[in-house]
Amino acid sequence: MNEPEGFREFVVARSPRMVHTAYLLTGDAHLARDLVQTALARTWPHWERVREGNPDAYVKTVLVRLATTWWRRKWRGEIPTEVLPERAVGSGSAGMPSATAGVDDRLALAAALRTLPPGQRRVVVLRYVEDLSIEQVADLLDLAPGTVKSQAARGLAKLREVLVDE
Amino acid sequence: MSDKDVHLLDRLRQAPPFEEGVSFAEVAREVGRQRRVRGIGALGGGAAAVVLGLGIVSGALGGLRPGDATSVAAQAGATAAPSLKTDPFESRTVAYPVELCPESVTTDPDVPDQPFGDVGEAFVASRQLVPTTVPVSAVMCTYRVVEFATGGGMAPSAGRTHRLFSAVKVGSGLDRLARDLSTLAPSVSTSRACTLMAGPVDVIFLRLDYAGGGTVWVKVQTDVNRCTPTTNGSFVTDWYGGDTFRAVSDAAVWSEAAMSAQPGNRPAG
Repeated sequence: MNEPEGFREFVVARSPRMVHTAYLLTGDAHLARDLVQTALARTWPHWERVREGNPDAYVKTVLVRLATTWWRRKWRGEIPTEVLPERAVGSGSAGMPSATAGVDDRLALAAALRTLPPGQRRVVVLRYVEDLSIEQVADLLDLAPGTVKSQAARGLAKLREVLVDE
Repeated sequence: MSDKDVHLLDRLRQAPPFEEGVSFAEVAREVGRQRRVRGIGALGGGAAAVVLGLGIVSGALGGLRPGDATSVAAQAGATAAPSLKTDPFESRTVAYPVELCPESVTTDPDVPDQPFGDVGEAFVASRQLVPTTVPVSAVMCTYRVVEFATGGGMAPSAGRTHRLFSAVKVGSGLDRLARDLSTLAPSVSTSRACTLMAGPVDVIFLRLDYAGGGTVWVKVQTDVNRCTPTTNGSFVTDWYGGDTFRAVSDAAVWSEAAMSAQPGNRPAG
């Protein structure tokens, strides 16, 4: 089978954002890349149909389901961290962000997200980072809308608590 | 939602995304891997553990490339899907048309059934290996017929059937393929002096399909002695095609480089 038209461009343009989402979902950069790669590979055979609709949403759905499956199969022993790792200090000059400020922030947020139980983390990322509606998150994660609401609220509260304590 | 929450969510949303996503080549490679798992795994064939060894089997035994033993052994017991050394999907032209290959072969299989059907010309199978007409499709079907058992002992599997190991569609270079193979000279003798080194053997069938619906098969065996003739079942040439067929199976492209896989391996025609 030949390369589907437009798929290469889609990968180049959209995969950085997908890796970011996967990273927030998993807290693991390598795993994030693997999941995105697999999600895109699974999209490939359906690309002609998918591209007519909303390819971002399609890949995101595959990605979240892959992450969920991965958690169920491989990561049952995951224990949310209680304490955030220390962050680098003093690397920027006064009033100026350091060269690693963005990376630090990303790492801090990912670390904060890792303090949430996996299910809660997925809800928070999809609801607040990906801006999906309650119904969309419920559908994607196969949860009741009420559960999504409560998990989102609890997750946000926990994040607030963790990040304020930084 | 409080201001603090809004600020927090802004941080989450605006955290700089990764500068780099995944590469297209990585995705293509993963597609190839998934297809191998689906295609070959569906056949239910187990990958055998292989260790290298030497012994005398026959003048028609073939060679195993460095790395193959590792890759096959690594798969043994873990998965039914053997891994190929080179990912042919990088050529972006590969399918795994396992349905086009015989599901299994015997240790010394005949070329699949004739007749050829319409190959676009008056092709006489006893006079040349393949038609000069360019096929519309070429598929390499590989079978591991002699392997070496774990523990160092030689375990030729004579009299057994061997399941399809890989099926690779040749994505390009079909015009060159037709030219190269149709001009091979016939064998000049019934016996040749060959070394008798032993080694693993792969039988590779090349299936050529033509626009008129005809099909021609070519058989080669990989052979450490590089002495096994190439045949379509009627026409036999002394040209050893094992290295070339293996290179084409790896790259999914029939190219000059593939024909040069074995030094001095140019067709004599």
